[in-house]
Amino acid sequence: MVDWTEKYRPKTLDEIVGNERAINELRKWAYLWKKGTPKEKAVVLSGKPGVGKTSAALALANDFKWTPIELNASDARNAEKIKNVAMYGAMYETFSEHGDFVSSRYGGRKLIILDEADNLYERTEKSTQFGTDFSDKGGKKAIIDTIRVTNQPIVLIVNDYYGLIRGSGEVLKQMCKLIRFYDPHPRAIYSLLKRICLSEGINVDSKVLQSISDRCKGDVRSAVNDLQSICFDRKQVTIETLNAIGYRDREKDIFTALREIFKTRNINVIRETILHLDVDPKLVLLWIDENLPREYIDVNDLLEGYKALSEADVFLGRTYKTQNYDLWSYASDIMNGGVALAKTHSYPNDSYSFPTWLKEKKDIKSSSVTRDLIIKKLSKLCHNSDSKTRDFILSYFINMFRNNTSFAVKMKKKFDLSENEVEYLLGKTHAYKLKEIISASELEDIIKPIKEPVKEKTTMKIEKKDKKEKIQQSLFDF
Amino acid sequence: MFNVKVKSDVLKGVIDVVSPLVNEAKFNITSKGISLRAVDPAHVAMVDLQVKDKAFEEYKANEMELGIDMDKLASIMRLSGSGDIITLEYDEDTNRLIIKIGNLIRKMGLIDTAGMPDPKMPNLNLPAKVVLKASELNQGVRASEAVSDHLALTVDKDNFELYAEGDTDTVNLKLPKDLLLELNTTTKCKSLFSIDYFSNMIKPVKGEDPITIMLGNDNPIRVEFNIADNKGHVTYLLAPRIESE
Repeated sequence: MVDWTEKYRPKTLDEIVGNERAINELRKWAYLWKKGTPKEKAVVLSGKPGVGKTSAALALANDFKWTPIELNASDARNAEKIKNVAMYGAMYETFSEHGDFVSSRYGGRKLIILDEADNLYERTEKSTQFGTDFSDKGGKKAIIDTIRVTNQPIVLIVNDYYGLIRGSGEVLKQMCKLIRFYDPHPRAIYSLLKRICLSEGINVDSKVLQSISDRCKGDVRSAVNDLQSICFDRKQVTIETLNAIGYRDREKDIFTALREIFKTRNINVIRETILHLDVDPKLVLLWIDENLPREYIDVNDLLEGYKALSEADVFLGRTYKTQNYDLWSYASDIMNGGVALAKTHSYPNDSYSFPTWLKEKKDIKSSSVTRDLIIKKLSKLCHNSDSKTRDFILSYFINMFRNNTSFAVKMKKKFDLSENEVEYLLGKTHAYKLKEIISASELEDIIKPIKEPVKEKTTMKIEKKDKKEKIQQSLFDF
Repeated sequence: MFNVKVKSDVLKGVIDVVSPLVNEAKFNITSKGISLRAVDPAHVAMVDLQVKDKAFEEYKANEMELGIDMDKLASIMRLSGSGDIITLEYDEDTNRLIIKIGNLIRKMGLIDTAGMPDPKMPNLNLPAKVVLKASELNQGVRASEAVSDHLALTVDKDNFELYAEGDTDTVNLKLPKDLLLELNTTTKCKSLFSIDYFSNMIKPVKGEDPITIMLGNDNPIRVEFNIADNKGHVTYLLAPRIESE
């Protein structure tokens, strides 16, 4: 079966749904390439999923007869891959897919499309190996380098523009032209769906199309997908069919749920929202716990709210203890309904924040991963179990590491400690030593080969010093 | 049907020609031999490969397509020694290629060739033609690798010249007409190319074997040579570097 999102992917820029302004800007940028290489050699298309960014890029290539070269998330995109495909593509002339050659002087260009450019650096082989994130920053650098040297147009496609320009991506802000894509109007999506139904020869009630285009919230791709799934094997679709197959409601987000809990007293509405909210009640509890004191300023309301919350927590506890998930609905109703009914005033607050407890737990988790890695290395050398190392050796090791720099340098080398691990061992109190240790260990690498032949002639003094160090570190020297 | 016996070195030669450019290749099989034409992912280079049935020890085949993962095939071929005879057989029921090396049987899943394009060779205006020994060219390219990532090739009526320029160092290889097997041009031609690609393209040619080069002005270069004891023919096209205005 052909995927309709591919079958009806716009062939030219004129066919893109909505976003006229963005499309015009994109076209203007492309015209600049006809006169040579413009100042902004890359554009960033930023917008929510499914609004037509990738379609726009491909349609642009088609309109201008450029050969698109696509690097998307399904490819392995490390720095090397980007260099091999995007960078070479960017500096050299083009053969089209069908083997034509047109020099760039006569308009024969290629369009390099980097899809999902805001999350390509985290996907490295290394990061999956240890279950921790040693994300390779090389990807961003490779993109920047490619844009610097390119003589071919480049399109970066992102959901999160700030994810792209964060940190080392800062320079991209000046190098690229930003074009934002907004949600297309439901009316525009409606007419697209209508067009598809006509060409497929399926009779679909206009109410159904209306409902799909309203509910997709600007996500054209999902609207087309939904249409295809309800039209599957049917020639006639009415609003009854739509109800019969239980058209899924779009997920509601936690903020809507919180707003309803804190602002309204209608338990039925809240229940409905929570039902469609794909979130564990335990998490909802944390969200309410975080935001309750910001919302309910009246002390009595706050007290009542927390009473409901703690009662719900009891039920949640029982759920996990007995593994009887039927209890979830009690917890959920007591929590959401109880908190909603606890208020006697209405409050003006309108911003809700992520549970602090979770945030902090996350930090602790990442440092405990680092700790476990260190412990593994130590246990292997000392020939004992990880728990023994943790209970009896690690604290001494940390102490020595912090107070004896040369020991630290030596251990860094011996255990091949990463910068992260050294940072963990030093802790906040000795963090200032980090630079010293790292530069010293690098220096040692350079100096050692030179030093070796001189060693025989060194004075007693240095030898003594060597010995002294050895005695001190004997535990870790075998 | 595809059932052939081939010398390990011939198959390795084919891999050396194709794998630098594409990871997934579509081989067109006919009763007269195999052929392949593909554009690399960066759309910078193109390869055209023809291997006649005579290059094989035994050859029985009908018209069909084989989609092959080149990296996988290369790693399988590393199991074979030079001089081995390899049997290749297509198993229609499981869509796999059965590779027999001695007593070893390796079955390899094939790639779906639907949607893989069949590019045609573009018509190019390349007025200069040079034929030279691989060893002469190899030396110049190897020297250039240390200096830059691209090199300039120039042909005029008396000389073939290779020039690479880095930040501080340069490489120059000038071959006068009498050192070349053939030199033919109507005008002076010059274009810039990627050293990475170019060196991969001439690597399959060993020692004194001839390489034919056709060159134009800011046009692709055409590199041609024979493999498998002159029973196979390779044509590469490499797009020039865009010189910024």
